[in-house]
Amino acid sequence: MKKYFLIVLSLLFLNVTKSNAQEVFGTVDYDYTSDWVKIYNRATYLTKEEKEREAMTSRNWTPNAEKMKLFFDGTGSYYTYESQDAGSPGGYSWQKADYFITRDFTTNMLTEIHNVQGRTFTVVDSIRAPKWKVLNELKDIGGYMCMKATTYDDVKKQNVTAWFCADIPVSIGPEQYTGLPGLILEISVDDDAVLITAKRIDLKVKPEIPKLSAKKLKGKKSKMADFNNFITQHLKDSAYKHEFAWGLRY
Amino acid sequence: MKKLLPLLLLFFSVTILKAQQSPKINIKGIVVDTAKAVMPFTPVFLLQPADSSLVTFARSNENGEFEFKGVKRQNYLLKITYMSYLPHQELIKPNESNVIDAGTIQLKLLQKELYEVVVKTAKAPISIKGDTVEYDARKFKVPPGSSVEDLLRKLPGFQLDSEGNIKAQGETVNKVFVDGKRFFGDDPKLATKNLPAESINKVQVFNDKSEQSKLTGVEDGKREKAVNLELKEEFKKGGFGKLTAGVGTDQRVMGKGNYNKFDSKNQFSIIGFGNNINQTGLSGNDYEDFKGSQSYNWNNNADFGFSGGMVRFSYGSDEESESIGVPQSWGPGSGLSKNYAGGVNYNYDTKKTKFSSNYFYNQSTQNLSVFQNSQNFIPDNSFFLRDSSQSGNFTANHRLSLRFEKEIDSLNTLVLNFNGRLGDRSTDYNSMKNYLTPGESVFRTMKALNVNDATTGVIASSAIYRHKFMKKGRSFAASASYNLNNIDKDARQNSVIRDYPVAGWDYNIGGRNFDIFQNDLGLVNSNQIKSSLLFIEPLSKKFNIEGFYNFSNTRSLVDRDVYNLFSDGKPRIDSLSRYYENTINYNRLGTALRYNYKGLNIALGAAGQQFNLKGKFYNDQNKPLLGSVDRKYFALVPNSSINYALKNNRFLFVNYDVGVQEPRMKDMQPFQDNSNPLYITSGNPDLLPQTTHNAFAGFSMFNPVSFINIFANVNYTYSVNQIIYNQTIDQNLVTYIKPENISGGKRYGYYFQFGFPIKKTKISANVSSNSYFAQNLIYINSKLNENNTENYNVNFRLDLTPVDWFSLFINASHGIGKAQYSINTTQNQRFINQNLSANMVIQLPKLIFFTSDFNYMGYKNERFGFDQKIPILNMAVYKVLGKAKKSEVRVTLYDAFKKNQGISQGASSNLVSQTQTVTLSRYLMFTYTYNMRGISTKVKKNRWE
Repeated sequence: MKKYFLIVLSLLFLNVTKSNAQEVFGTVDYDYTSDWVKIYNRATYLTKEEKEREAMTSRNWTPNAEKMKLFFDGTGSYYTYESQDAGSPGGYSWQKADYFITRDFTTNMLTEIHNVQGRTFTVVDSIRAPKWKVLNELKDIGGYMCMKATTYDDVKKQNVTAWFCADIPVSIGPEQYTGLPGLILEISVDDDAVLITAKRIDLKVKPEIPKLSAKKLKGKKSKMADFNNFITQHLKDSAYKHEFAWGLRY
Repeated sequence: MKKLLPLLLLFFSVTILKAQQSPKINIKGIVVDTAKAVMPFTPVFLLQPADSSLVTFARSNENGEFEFKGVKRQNYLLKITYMSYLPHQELIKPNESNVIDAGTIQLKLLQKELYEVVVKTAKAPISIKGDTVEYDARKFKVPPGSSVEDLLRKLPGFQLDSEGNIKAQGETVNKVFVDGKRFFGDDPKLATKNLPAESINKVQVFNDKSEQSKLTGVEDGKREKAVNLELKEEFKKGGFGKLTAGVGTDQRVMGKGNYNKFDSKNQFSIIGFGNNINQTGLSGNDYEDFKGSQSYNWNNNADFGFSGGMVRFSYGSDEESESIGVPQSWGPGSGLSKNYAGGVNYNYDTKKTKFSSNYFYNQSTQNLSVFQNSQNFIPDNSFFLRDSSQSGNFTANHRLSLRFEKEIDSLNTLVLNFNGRLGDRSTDYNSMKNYLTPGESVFRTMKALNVNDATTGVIASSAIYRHKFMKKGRSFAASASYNLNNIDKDARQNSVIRDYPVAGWDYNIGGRNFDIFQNDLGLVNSNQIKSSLLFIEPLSKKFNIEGFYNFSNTRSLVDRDVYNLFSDGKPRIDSLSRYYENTINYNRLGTALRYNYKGLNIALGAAGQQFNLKGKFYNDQNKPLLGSVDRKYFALVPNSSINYALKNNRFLFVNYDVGVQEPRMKDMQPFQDNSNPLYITSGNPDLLPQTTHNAFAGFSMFNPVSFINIFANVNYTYSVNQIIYNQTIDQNLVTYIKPENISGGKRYGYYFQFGFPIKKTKISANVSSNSYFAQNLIYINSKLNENNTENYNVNFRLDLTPVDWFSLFINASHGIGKAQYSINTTQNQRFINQNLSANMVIQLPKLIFFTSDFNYMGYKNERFGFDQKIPILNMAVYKVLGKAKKSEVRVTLYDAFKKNQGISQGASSNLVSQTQTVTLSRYLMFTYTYNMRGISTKVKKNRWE
């Protein structure tokens, strides 16, 4: 809990100052690309030889992208798969596990649904941001100048790099990432092991923010700490058994 | 928010009420641009000076003013950023007052060139460190083969003259570093002219201390412009290798080594081994290190449409089991063998072009001593056969493999594949067979001495072209293949059969002479040309339809000349010599409709397939025709499958398909083959193709969080026109075999597995069971024999991984087999197979490890009095040496109880046998390994590691 930096105050300031500006809203399509060689190479139980062998034998594999979608306006945001049906036309079709990330800026609350191998976590908690470091690097994503920020995810033990656009003053991003003074347009986890990049940014049309259905919200609610403890335990168990922590969204 | 406001107000009022030196301060300022115009709505951040951690952020109002209220009294880094302006950064140090005024802050325009060229056009991130600007060089495209010099010419802020002298930000660059290290010599052009542009990750420009101050350590305040070239991670050249050598008791020796060199595009590897401990091929890991990125390739399948059902094509002769590609081995070979092998591999990989080539040579000298006891059932009687044989086999193979894959553009791909093998094989075989009556009196002996030399040439090659249309999901593929199998054999066969009269036993060969002494020259040449076409058309988002066509033409030529060596003139034996040619033409046209949506994948299809078998049989090339075969078959085969991928790694699947296989030409030749005088086969030109109906259904689930897994499936196979080999055994115990069709053979079974943790990560168990039931039909002396087989197996596994330094994996299985015969129920029998195995790893202090493998096998057949118990124990102790953990010394004891006897037992329709092969038994070996990538110092926690 301590590892998170509460930014209720800063959000308050943002809202106060932003009331001067016009309302920000939009839809962003992200490509979520997993590089399995890099992900697999993080396994602590593998020897250098095994990691290098894996990297060598699968160097020609091309990672494939999942399509994700983020809707937001001044009151909240909603993030999930672009479509439940995956796969290329004619290809094998898989089913997605439930994964919904929503934010309510008016109450500073988050509601997230995570399905990890048969266990559904409906997490309801206040919004907490990781401790970001803002660096002096600039790059362009979809025509927007972004600044670099980094953080360390102590739950999943990952180094996270975010590129946020301070000119889109909304403190959200893809997945669970939040707390930067602008919309996050790109996330790179562990040196592009997972790369989430904005492919289409539409700030002109005010979207209808989808709501989580009552059916989905049924059942026990968890705190973020409960969910994080579950992930920590699963990572620990898998590493002990020399198994990859399958079932987790990286 | 509304609830918080009063709280905050209260909070602020409290702080105001407090004394002058409040622990909270306000920081304010005004943001203006280069023209001193106010900049409204500009993001302003407060960061921790130590690590740039974000404390809070705000935005300027319409007058360009900003204010952070009630922040902790400490130093801050104030940062302001705005599109196309250089990020402004300044250190704020609180003074006595409670309100710190940063004053008017003027933002500088980002050098237009930099922003437009680097950020906007090249989409490259730039990093600003004081006055140093760093670019991501990968984003600046230069033609392939360009040098760093060409790259620098493209970078904004750099100026290069015609000689390649560098100026950065207006100053001359005298030093070029590569990954922070000086590149050879002082001339910065050495690096920029010689390094390829594609090897560079980042280009950094910075101010370096002068050589003088570096040398003396005295700061002289002089700064020189320097450039650092950061190499791409993947471009860093690498090399790794491994060497193992061992000596043991019984003159056992082994050695193996490999070395690899690679960079981002090229991989070169070399491997070699030699041993007399029955290791004939590469282990899985060695194979992957050898073939690198080309270890596994998809897109190699040139037969489109339903899998299976194509005309079979065999490579090599029946006796040999050499693969076409680089040989891999799973466990030691049988007998006693000396093995040598070596190979080189080269791969070239780019995103669009992939090329792989390798050459591999292996040779093996194997000594086999085999003792076989069998009981043979004949109508109303039985006899024993005791066979003791020795053979020396020598094999040598040269293999060449080439693969080329080219992505011509995003819509077109080409794959070319070539695999060739040239092999030599010679065999020296002698055996002594004793035939015994049920009372164990010898009534016949057969002594054989055969020498065999053969050369084999094999080619398997294909070309595959794939095209995607602009319409999403529409695609086309075409393939062509050429396969060749050429065997040239020279054999000398000598066998002598003697009968001994036994009272009451009348199965004698009488006055007939079955002795053989002949030279057999045989040539088999088969080649196959194949082609396939595939077209896929999307009908909607969920439906698509495919159509495919397969064609193949398989030609075989067999030229066998047998000469009688009993006579001086070595006359040709026409009754045994043969010349024949045959052709199989195959056509298949099919279609399938597919539905793929939300994890549900359904395919329904059918194909029509036609075989045309033609054969002509002669005594010799110029002799009259002995007989011919010309048959055409047509069959319509359905094919369907449902795969349902449910959430949480659960799968349901149901398949049904029909397979049709053409008869073998060998089984259709219209005459007798009496090369083995006691075992005479004749062909059947009226054979029909065999049709098999297969149904399969299953469920699986795997939960990586709870570590619970379940697999279950049922399968059923029914044969129509199954080709069976009916037997007629005459009074002389000569067996006549004739292939014929019969319907009604079937086989069905199930498999079930349940794995679960008893104590999560420490103890887990796995229970599985499988059984199968089969009904096989065969005519023996014209009487239909229905052979029913029942087989029940249960298996139990326990994985104990309680602590980091200890693991134990136990496996126990029990199997019961029953065989029942309808014509002779006295042959009915019951087998019991039992197995217990345990694998243990213990890590001792000082990187010493102990491992042991115990394997106990029990075979029991009450009816024949078999009761074999074989315990095999292997143990090893090893220590990892050195700081870098690159060396290992190991002592291994194989087969501690000296019980490895290569025993196997089997039962078929009218035969029960037990075989024992002299093989590698107890020995102690000392090995040393050096691995450039380090030795693993972990205790395995997973059975399959």
